[in-house]
Amino acid sequence: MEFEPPLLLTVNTLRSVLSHLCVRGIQHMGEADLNTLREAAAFFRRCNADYCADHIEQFLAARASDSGATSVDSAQVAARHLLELQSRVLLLERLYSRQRALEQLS
Amino acid sequence: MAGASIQNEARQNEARLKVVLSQVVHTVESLMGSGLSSASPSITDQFQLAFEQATKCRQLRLGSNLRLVNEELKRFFNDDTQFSERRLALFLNRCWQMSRQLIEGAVTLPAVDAHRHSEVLDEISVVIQGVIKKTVPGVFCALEFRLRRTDGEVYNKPLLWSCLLATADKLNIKPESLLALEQPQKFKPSVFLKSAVLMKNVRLVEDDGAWRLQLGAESEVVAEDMEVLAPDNTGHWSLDRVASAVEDWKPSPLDLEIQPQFEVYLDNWSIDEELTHTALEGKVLFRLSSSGKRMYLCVDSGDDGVAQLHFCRQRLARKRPSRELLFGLLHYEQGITLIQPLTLWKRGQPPGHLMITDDKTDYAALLKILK
Repeated sequence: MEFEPPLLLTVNTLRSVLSHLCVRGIQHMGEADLNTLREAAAFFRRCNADYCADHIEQFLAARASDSGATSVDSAQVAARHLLELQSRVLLLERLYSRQRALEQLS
Repeated sequence: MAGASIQNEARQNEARLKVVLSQVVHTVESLMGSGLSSASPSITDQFQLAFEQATKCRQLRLGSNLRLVNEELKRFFNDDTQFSERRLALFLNRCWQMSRQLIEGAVTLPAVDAHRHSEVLDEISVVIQGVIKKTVPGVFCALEFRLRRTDGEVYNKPLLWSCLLATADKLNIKPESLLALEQPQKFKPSVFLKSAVLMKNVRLVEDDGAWRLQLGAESEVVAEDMEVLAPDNTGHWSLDRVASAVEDWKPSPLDLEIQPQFEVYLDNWSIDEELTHTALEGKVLFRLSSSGKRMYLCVDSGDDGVAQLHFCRQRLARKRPSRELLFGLLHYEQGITLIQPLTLWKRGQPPGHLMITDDKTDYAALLKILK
């Protein structure tokens, strides 16, 4: 794959899932989306991108506790983790592009 | 006393902005939780209110993002085929980040927007480098002229002038029509395509990544008796210059994918393949080699890219290096170098504008009817 090394593949897959969630909502996430997030967390952990992995794991934990009297707070916490993750994913793409630009121009 | 009153009003506006932005943060988080599908169309009112308040407080970048969110939300609620989940998610996230920074005081008011350099120039003589067109059906169409000074001096950022026409619902007007639209200063933008241009009493304003020329009631724009030719020396727009700028580039989560963007001239280039990229929605790519470097020409697959697409496919079929200078806008996305091709310069000849279609519509007559 000339265009999509593993980092970009993960970044693009996550962007796609997160964009879809804006329309569909965390409440309606399916098992496939959750698996994508778990795989992304494992990938980020392997690459030492702990900040991204932490947000995914904290999101999964907040979502799991999203029931009963605390549901509103948990839903908000879960949403914040995904929004933070999204901004980090956008930054990763920019950092990767800069690194590649320097390699290509040297 | 007047100063104290102005300060007081500014403080009240800032306090109001923070209240409105707290609601924006909450709404974005709720949207992420329950989804846009279960939201009411009235949420657009909230983003409109926030846009107005942000503009009042000179938070222009935030204001522009709030406006873009609202445009995308309206597309969703109107079942418009132009709606893009990816675009909505991007601008919602940017609004969420900027709003939180402002509320939490990480960015102070009035922010960077208030400190842009601006000065009035008695006169400036310019010549075109390229022209970009942009259409958002039913919203606006626009032309952006990329310019350079005729005296050989260059700014540290691109120099440009643009014109825009707000279009009524469902009315799809081509940006080329603006070439024939007389401006309040009694000139037609097509003058930039025909000769060098002298602009008098014009304001030069520092924008995000460019110097923008703005016209006022006192401004004059007249054709000069000077041919439009490529610059003698394209060193300022070379890939070497891009390399040193990339070293200084500090990426931020608030960067758009097209930032930073560079104007470049390429020579001895050839196209060898047409491709698409799953992450570059609505774009067609053409692999290009120039001076041993590999890049991709990036063309809009919609109406705005029709002429460019035709040009790239013609050159792909030719299968030999081109000696003409190619002017375009370069940016980095998805780890690759992308160039939007704008102008083809043949030695000693006027430029070929690659985005402008060669249609025969009488735009002057059309616009008279619209008025």
